[in-house]
Amino acid sequence: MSAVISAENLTKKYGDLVAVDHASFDIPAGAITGFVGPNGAGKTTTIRMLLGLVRPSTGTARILEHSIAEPESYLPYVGAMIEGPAFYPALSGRENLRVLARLGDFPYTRVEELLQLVGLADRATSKFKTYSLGMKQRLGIAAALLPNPKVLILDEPVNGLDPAGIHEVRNLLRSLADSGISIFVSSHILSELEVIADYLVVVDHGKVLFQGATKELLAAHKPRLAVKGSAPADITILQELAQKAGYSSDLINDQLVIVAPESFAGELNKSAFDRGIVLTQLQITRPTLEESFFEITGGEG
Amino acid sequence: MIRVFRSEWRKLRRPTLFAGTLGIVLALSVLITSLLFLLLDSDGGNGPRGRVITRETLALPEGLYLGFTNFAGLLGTIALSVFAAQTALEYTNGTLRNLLVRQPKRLLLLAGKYVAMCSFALLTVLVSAVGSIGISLILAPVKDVSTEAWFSSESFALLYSNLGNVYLSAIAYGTVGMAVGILLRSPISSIAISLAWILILEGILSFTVDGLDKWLPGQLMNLIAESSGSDISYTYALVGTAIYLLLFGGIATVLFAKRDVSN
Repeated sequence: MSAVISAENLTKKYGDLVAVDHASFDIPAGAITGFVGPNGAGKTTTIRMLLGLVRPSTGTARILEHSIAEPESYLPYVGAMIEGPAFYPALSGRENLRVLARLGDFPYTRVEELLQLVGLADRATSKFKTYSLGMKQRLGIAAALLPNPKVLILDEPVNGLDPAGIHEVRNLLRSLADSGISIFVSSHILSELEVIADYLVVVDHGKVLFQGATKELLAAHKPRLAVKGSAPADITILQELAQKAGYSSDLINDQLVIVAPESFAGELNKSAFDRGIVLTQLQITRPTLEESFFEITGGEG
Repeated sequence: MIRVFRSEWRKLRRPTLFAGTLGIVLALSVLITSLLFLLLDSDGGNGPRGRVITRETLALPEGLYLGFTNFAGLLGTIALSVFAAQTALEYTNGTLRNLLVRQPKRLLLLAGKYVAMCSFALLTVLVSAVGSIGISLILAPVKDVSTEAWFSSESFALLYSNLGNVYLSAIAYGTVGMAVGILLRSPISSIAISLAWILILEGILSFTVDGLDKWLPGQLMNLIAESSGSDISYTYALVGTAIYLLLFGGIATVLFAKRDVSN
């Protein structure tokens, strides 16, 4: 799969502070790529560099084969929402989009289409300052979609949205990706990215710690089997069986939690049965993105 | 450039700014010109800073535009406020990043915004001229001011030069406002600091230090609008203002083109 965004040693320093530290990554075409990292990890600065708003201290990047030193060559094909929706409070949603449509030379019919798409057609004449946070986010997404982009860069698009709003944005992003738009979406809500992102770029303290398929990251960490026998004494035998198979385990509350592949579940069940143990619980828990993230970054899970 | 210009006008034409500013300009120009006529025989004077403008002066060909030129300083401060606010608000609203994504050529964006605001300033000058001239024509017969010379060819020629000078002065004020807006990135600070300098500090300095007028940008910009009535020549005021504008405008343009957009 070809890369629509390709960063090479992208670095941004503010005095002694290194906001982005030699970041190198590739964003594949036609997929949703999550940009994951805690607040202050350098996500927004990276996005600003990609959009020509901030000059890199060193390093470079290419978007749609064009260098970020020439933003005018690729930005007509890029839609972006950076650090939340920013609009003119005294103008209506429609007028705000028209300001940008006029600037980018997009027809006003596109504005109406997008207001319809993001569900703001009935509030199009209301002033932006009267919008709820969810409506503001949706207007931001509409603005990003104005050029009918090949690449969509969204910075925290679900911030402040309620569960229904998050669900809507998720479906919208999926349908856009299915239509061939490459989406690069940053978020610190890892559970959200786990659901929508095909690929991930994980950053912390300005450094890229992981890039690859989401399932690849999740598969890198073994699931956990939570088991329990009918008698309290069974725990010792189950622990012995896990140890014999080469897996570590921990007693958490009254359950034995074994870090092992899913295939071990059947093997353990059979061995326990052979030792006269009836399992009252055998639950497989796959690692979440959050757990994998903390494992990579060495943070607290 | 045309796209930027038209995009900027979508913001400038919002009712609170467009109708509000033009309404204030019209009301103030009518008020100031009315005072010029209604206080004709007042001991306290009828012109700016207590100056006495006689019936005979008002009856001259330029008398028709005296109220308008008296209003020029205020028009300048209005232009400064609009230019500063429209520029600095892009930073405080965070909308500059949206604009730059849609128009990454920063100098083109700046130029388009500037031309749009200059056209807005032209509108304010025209509205104030219409208000002032209109009320002059109404009040002249009421206050026994002869209007014969007002309809002479000399008077019409003066109309264009007066309009041009007041407009130049307003643009100069506006350019200062835009430069300070880019520099400070805050509308309130930009307007407050600029007006405090031009209206208060320069006023005090020019009264207390002899000959300092010719070095102060605000005084020079006012002289362009008045075009006479001072020992500093019009050409000197024009050149002095141009040097200041090149300096302020140059710094602001470099900052706008090169500075990272982080808000």
